[in-house]
Amino acid sequence: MRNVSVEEVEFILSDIEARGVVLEDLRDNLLDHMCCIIEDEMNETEDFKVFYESVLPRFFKESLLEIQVETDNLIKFKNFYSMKKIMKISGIATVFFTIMGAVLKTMHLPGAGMAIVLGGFTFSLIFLPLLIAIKFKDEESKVDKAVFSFGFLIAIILSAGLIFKIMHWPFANVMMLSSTVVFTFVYVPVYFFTRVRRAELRFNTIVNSVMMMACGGIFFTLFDLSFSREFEKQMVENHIYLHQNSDRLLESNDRLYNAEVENAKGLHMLSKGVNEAIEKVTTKIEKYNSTASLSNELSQLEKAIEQYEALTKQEEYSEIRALRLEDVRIIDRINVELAKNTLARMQQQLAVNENCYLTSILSAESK
Amino acid sequence: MYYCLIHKKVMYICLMYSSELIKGTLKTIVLNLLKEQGKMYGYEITQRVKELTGGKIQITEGALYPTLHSLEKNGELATEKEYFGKRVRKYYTLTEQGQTTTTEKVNELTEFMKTMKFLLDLEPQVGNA
Repeated sequence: MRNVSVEEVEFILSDIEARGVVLEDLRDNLLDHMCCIIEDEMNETEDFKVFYESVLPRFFKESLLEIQVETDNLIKFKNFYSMKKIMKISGIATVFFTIMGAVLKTMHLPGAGMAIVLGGFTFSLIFLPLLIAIKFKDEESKVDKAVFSFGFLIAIILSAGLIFKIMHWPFANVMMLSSTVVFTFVYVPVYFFTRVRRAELRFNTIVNSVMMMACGGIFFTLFDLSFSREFEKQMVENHIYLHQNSDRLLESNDRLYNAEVENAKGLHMLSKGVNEAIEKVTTKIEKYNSTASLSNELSQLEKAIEQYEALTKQEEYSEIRALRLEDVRIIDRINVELAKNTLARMQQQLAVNENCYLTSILSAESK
Repeated sequence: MYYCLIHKKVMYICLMYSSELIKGTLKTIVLNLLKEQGKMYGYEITQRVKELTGGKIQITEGALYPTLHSLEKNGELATEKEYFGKRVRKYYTLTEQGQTTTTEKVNELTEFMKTMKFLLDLEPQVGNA
């Protein structure tokens, strides 16, 4: 029996590595196996390298890497196939739900929201994560792996953001805006610079980068086009106009109250309550420049309106038009300007109601 | 009479029997050997099989190591390592789960062989002639 020297072990190890076997366990096994063969089968007189070269082909058909590929496949493929299958199914489900949701939505049929949310969830929570996992296994280079995973992660956030937006859930804008900005200004450059230097990928990389940049740019611009500056200006003016007129009316009403319309005190208190509640909501909207987290103020306003409606339903208040509760309920779902307009409209309705009621009483008394 | 098919998948087991024939039994061979011997390393397994079968079955490295690694990954085998400088020897032993799997696999193969014998009419049974 012949002993294998340290140099020979080193030689075999570096040769196995040079042939592409990187799995540590497998490499160790092959090294020990080769050493055992040499110890068992090699004559003292034989040349080590010649013998090594003659034994090595026993391990494979075309290249040593076959063993690693086979090992990899046996270890991974069990999950790999089921992952691919689930990915396919979730992909088809995404397409199906999204199209169904879009059709239902355009035809104003029920179930549209549900279908779109299901589509979005299968896409962002099943399809894309699986795509990351599979791509991670398939891609050779570590940089590509990282870049692709990063891209898919952005896609997950963006598609989740879209779903949140459609469903009026919180943080939709933050998710969409941040993912679009990161996509356009971080991901696309990273993608471009990691790939453009490789000659075989250059053309595709340039085309893809331009397309992605254009898509990201268009998407990014759309956020600011949701309404124009002119529109916003008009909304502000509407609001000021409504608000000022209501104030004038309310002042005039106060003068009427002072002109001894005693039995209108009840209405006056309730009107005041509603008006104060509206002011509270408006103040908070102006303070934070946002319609989010108004639930406390809005429920107070709803209560005030309910009390007001309870009184004014009676026959003697026929001059009074109802304040619409459904308007209050959408305040935290619309943008700041529109919300302020809606509130100002309500305030004016309140003032007009009061005024009409008071003048009708006064005219009845004077007769 | 014995022959070896030179075939694309000959990476598996060769020399005496066709690879297709033995491909499905490699796991069973390895597991059962470990059950009887306790603790073995890769080269030892190939040599032992060769010795036991008189050279009729020779497990190639290309088939053995992928199988060992996947059995280890699935929790059928446990390993312990012995270091000689840069050289590492991995000894494989059956886990508890591996013991059960071995029994199942051996039973399955025995049943299969009985059925094959009957199917190919190699051992005509009484009343079945």
